[in-house]
Amino acid sequence: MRSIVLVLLLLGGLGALRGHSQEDARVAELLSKLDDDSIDARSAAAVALIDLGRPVLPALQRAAGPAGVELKDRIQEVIRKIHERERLAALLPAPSRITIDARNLPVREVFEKVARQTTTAIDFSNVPEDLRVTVKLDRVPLWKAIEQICRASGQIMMDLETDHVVISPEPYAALPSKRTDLFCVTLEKVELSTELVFGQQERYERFSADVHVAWEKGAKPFHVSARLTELVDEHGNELVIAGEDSEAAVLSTVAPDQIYRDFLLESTRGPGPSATKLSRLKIEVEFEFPLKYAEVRIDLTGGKFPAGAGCPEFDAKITRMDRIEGALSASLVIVPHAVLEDEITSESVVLRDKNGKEYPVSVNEGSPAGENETPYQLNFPTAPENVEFTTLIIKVPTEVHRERLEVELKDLDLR
Amino acid sequence: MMTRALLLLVFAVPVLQDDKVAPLVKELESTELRRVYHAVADLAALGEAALPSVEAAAREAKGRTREYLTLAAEEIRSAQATGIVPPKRISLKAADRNVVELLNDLRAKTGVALSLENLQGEEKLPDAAVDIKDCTMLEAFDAICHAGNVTVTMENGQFMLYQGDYQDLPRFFYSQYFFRLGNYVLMKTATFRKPAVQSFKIQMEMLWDPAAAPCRFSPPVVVEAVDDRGKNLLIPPAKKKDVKTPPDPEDEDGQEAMSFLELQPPTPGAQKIAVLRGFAPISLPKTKATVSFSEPPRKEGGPDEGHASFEGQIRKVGDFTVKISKVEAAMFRIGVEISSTKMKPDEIARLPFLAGVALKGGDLGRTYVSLWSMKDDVAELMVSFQPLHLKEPLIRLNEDRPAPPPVIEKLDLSIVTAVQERRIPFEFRDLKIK
Repeated sequence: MRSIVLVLLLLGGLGALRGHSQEDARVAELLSKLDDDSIDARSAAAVALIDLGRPVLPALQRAAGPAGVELKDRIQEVIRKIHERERLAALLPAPSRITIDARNLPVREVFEKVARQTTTAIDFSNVPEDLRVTVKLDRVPLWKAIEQICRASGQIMMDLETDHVVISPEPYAALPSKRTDLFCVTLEKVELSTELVFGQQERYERFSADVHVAWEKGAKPFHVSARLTELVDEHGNELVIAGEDSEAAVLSTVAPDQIYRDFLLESTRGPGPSATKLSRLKIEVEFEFPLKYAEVRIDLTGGKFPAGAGCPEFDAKITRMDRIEGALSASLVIVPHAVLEDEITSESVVLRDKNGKEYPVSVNEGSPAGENETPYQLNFPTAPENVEFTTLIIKVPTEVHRERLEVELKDLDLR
Repeated sequence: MMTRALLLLVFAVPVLQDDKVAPLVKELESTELRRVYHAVADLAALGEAALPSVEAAAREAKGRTREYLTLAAEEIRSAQATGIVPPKRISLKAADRNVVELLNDLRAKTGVALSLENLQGEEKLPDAAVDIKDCTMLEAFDAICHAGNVTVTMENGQFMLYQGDYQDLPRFFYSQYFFRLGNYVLMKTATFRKPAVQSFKIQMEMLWDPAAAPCRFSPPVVVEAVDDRGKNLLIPPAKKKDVKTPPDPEDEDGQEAMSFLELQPPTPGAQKIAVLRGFAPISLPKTKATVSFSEPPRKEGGPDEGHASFEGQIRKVGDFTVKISKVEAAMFRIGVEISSTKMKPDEIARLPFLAGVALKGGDLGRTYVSLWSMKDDVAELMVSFQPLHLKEPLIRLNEDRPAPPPVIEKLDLSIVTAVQERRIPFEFRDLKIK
C-alpha cells in the first residue's frame, strides 16, 4: 500500500520528465523498487537511477520530501552519487566512441581507424596483413568496439599489456566479461584444485579466478580493487556467499600510463577439478578517483633543512635532502590533522627545479618517527647534480569517488 | 712359474667379482625396495674392479633390473671423481632411551653434523625404542626421529630438528640422500580460449647428508609412473613445457631442493600410484680452489682488534684472488670479494661456492654463500653462518643470558671449478591417493 502511494506521488512529481512517458514510468518503477523488501532489488534500482544521471534529479528531490526516513536516506545517497559522478565526469575524459563502416577491409586498416578515435594505444602489428573483416560500428565505446571487430574477424583476440592493447592472431573465443563505456573486466582463467597431503585425510579445495580489469587511457583510477562476491557450483551450492566478507585484492598504485591490472581472486572453497560448469560467479570491482586534494608546497630554495609547509589537512617537513651514492634522497615526515584518504605514493610527490622541470620520485617507508608522524624516504633517481631545486609539492586525496562495477557471469563452461 | 701365477690372478679377479656381483644382481629383483637399492649401493661399493661384471650384467638384464645395474655402473664411474665415500651401514638398538641421547649416539657413530640445540627445550622428549639394522645414516636418523616424534627440515644445507609434528610421509632413501613426498595437487585450468586442461603434481623434497652436499640441482626426472588402473602417468615429451628452472643452490629456499613432479592425472577412481620412479640430477664438487683465513696471532700486549683483523686479508689460489671485505659477526655474515685474472665477475658469480666457518671453541657454523654484488672487476659474496653448537653438552642452554656474538676463528672458502654430475634415484610404490 505504502509503495502504491509512493508511486502515485512520484508520478505526480515527474513533471520535469513529461513527454517521455516511458522514461517516467521507468523512473517511477525504480523509485518504488528503492523501497523494496529485497536488498538486491533496492541495490539494482539505485544503480539504475544513478546511471540515469542528472535528468532524474528533480524527480528524486521531489520524492525525497514525503518519503520515510530510510527511503529518504536511500534517495539522498542516489542524489549524492549522481553529483559525484558528474564531478568525476568533469575529471575523466569522455569515453572514446568508435565509428567504422568496413566492408571486407584489412583488419590492420580497421584498427588504424580505431587508433585514430582513441588515445588508448593499440598494437596490431602481429595481425596478418591479408586478414580482412566486415564490421559496422556507430559510436561504440572502445572495449565493445574491439570485441565486435575481433568477433567479426573470428581470427583475432584482444590481450592487454601494461600500457597498451595488443591484437593477436588467435581463433576468436568469447571470454566471460563485462564492458562499460570506460572499463572492461574479463575473466581470463579459472583454476580449480584439490590438494591432499600423503597419508592425511584433509582435502583442500581451492578456487582462483584471474581477472583482467582495463580502463581507457586517461580514466586511470587512483586505486582499484576487486573482490569475489559470489560463487555457485553446477549443483547450486553457494561456495562464496554474497554479503559475506571476502578479501579484496587491491592495487595500491597505478603507474601513469597503465591501462590494466590483473587480479587473482581466490577462495578456499572451490567446486573441485571435476566441475564442468560454474552456475554463477560474481565479481565486484571498485575504482577510486580523487575528487579533491590537499596540497602543500615546500620551498627548497636556500637548501636549509628542516624545511616545511602545512595545509589544514596535514603538515609536511623535509628533515634532510642529500645525495647517497650519487642519487638525491630526502626524508619526509607527514603530520596529518585529519584522516587522509591515502598514504604518500610516488604520484603524490613532485620535485621541481627553478626552470619548472619535474623529476620522478620513488617513495618508501622511512625510519620510525614521533607519535602521529608518518615518515617516508624519498629517492629521486634522475635528479641531476648542479641543478637548483626550488619546490617539493606534496598532494594527498582528501575526497575520493568510489565507482563500483558488479560483474555477474552465469553458466561458465569449464570443459 | 711367476707368469702362471700372474695369469691365474688376472683371470681370478673377474671371477671373484662375478661371485660378488651375481647375488647382488639377484637382490635387484626383490619386491622390497630397500633391498633393491641397498644392492645398487653395494654393487657401486665394489668399485672399478667390478665394473666389467656390472656392465656385462646390465647388457643381459631387462627392464628395471637393467636400469638399476646401469645406475650402479654409473655410480662406480663417478665415485672416484668426487671423493665422497659411500655411507657405511649401521645398526642401533635401544629400548626406552631419550631421543636426544639416541641422536647423539648416531652423531658419534657416523660423524654427521647434527645440531641438537632445538631439542633441548622445556619439555623433555619422550623415551623411544629403536631397533635399526643394516641402515644408512639417514635411514637410522629418520627412524629415531619417527620414534621420538621429531620433525626434520633442511635449512642452508644443514638439518634442523624440532620437537613434535613428525609426519609419516612416503619417503625413499638412497646412499646419502633422502626424498620425501609432501602433498599432491589435481588441478583443472579453464582459459575459455582453449579446452580446459588437467594437471597432477606431486611435491617432493630432497634432503642429504651435509657431507655429500650437492652444489647444484636440476629438476627431477620421472621415468616411470603408473596408477593402479594401469594408466601411464608420464607426460608425453611433446606435451612437456615450462621446464622448471633448476633451483639456485645459492638461494636459501633452493637449498631445500623442493620440487614438483608433473604427471598426467590418474584415472578417475584410481586408489594408488603403483610406481613412481625417477632420478634427481645433482652436481657434486669435483675440483675446487680453497682458501683459508684465520685470525692472525695477537701481538703480546697489543690491542684486541676483534674481527677487524680479518678484514682486508687477501689469499690467492690459482687464478683467483679472494679478499675479506667486511666481517659482521653480530649479523652472522662475512663479505668476500673474488676476482680472477681469467674470468669476469659475472662468470665468477656463476660458479658454485662452498664455505666453512669455524667458531671459537672449535664449533662449526651452518653456512651458505650468496652473491651480494658485482663491481667492475670483482664479485662480492656474502658468507652467512649460524653456530651449529655441536659441542654443547646435552643440557638446556641458559636463555636468560643473551648469547654473545660468535667469535670467528677460521673461514674456508672453496670455489668449485669443476663438478661431477650424478643421478640420485628415487622410487615409490603403492602411494595412496584416495
